[in-house]
Amino acid sequence: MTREATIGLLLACALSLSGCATMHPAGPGTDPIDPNEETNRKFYDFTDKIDRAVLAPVADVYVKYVPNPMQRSIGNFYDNLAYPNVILNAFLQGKVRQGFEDSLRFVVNSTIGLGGLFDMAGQMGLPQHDEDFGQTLGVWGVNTGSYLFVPLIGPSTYRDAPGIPVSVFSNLLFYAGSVAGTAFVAPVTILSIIDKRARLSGPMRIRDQAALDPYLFVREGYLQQRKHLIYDGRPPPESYEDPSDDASLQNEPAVGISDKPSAKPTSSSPGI
Amino acid sequence: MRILRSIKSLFQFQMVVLMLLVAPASWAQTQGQPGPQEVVSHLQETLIKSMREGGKLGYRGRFELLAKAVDQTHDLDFIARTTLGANWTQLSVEQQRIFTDVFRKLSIGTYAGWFKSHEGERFEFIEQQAMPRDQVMVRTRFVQSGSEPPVRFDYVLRQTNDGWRIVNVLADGVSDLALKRVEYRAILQRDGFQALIDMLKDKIVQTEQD
Repeated sequence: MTREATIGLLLACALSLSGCATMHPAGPGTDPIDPNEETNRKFYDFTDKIDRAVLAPVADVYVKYVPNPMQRSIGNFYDNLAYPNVILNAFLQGKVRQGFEDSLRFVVNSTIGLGGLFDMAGQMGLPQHDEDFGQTLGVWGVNTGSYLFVPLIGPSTYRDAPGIPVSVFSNLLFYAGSVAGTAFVAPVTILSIIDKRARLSGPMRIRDQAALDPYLFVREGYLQQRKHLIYDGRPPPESYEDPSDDASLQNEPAVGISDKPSAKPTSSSPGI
Repeated sequence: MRILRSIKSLFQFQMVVLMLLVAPASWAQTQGQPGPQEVVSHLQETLIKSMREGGKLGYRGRFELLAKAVDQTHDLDFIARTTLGANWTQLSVEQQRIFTDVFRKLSIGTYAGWFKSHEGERFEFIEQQAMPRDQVMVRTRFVQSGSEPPVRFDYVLRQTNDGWRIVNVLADGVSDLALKRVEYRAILQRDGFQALIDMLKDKIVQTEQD
């Protein structure tokens, strides 16, 4: 995956970002979730340029010319290699039953599913789950922290960023290098990046069609989707208030009048 | 006096009977209005129709079909106001009118741009859930053909004078209202009202081209 291929860069960036975080206090009009917006926007623009110049055209060709069943098998293969991360975090979140089911899923797909190429476990009633260390920290009650755009990797937060090395070290692809030679691992890693980017084609298209400010669109979309995942698709409902209702205005200053951050809908659970 | 009392009690009895007759009538009227789930399913049936007949109708045809359904199922005035939050009250009445009009066209245009061809997709109801401030959440999933995973579409509805109306849509947990709120607010602050309107108008044109 992209993460594996760029681990060194990632760690360097994560460190440099942590440095940036302390250097730039939130200015007026800055969203409290994103005090490093200026730096994050630079990283976003940089990543977007690389993506449009290199990754997107390659992914488009891949989506267009590689038959769908083959794309699916390639995706299944990489999902399976990364699945120990899901198992680990299911247990860390106290989902013991799901953890055992996910372990069984991994065994079934690695064997009967021919190294993960075919999702046999899914047909046997062992569905794929989506867990990672960032979600685990969320379940444990760790606050989201500030938003972070990691160059070449994508949207993250101070809470989700530690999940990046965890997902790297729990991915079997990371250990493939010591077993197989670079001649094998390099193309497999490159294909994993293409697969990952191809799967993002849909959301990227929606961003291009809908976003007025793509950076903010990605940030808000990411933060909300993470919350959705942490609650396993059932986040506590939020309601929005009518600005005509005077009571609601007390909590939310208008732009240009005050530089206080906007009142956002709040959830009932800490750590999200 | 006895006769008078009898007449009085008869009158009271009639009043009670009358109330009993009237009460179910008004109750039936409330019941006659579609509930949150019916409102959502009306929208979704129209979306599927727009997909099935997408090619034949063309963008204009889909826009007209969906305009009617969106007006009947959404509280667009509320969504427009809430999207701008406190900034809404800073706008003149004319600016509020312009924004609501452009916002309505963009909302309908977005549906018309996305729901234009059908390959066996369908919506499935999951559950209905009560929310704070007398709002209701209707959770559904959009099942796609082939290996594409289903997309969750959750709708937030509130009771209005015209019945239940959608005030927010969440796609896989991403709130359309919250997303627009952040974007519009930032653009208003950075570039001003006219720039926001111009960008929204560009987006409307884009929904037709995509």
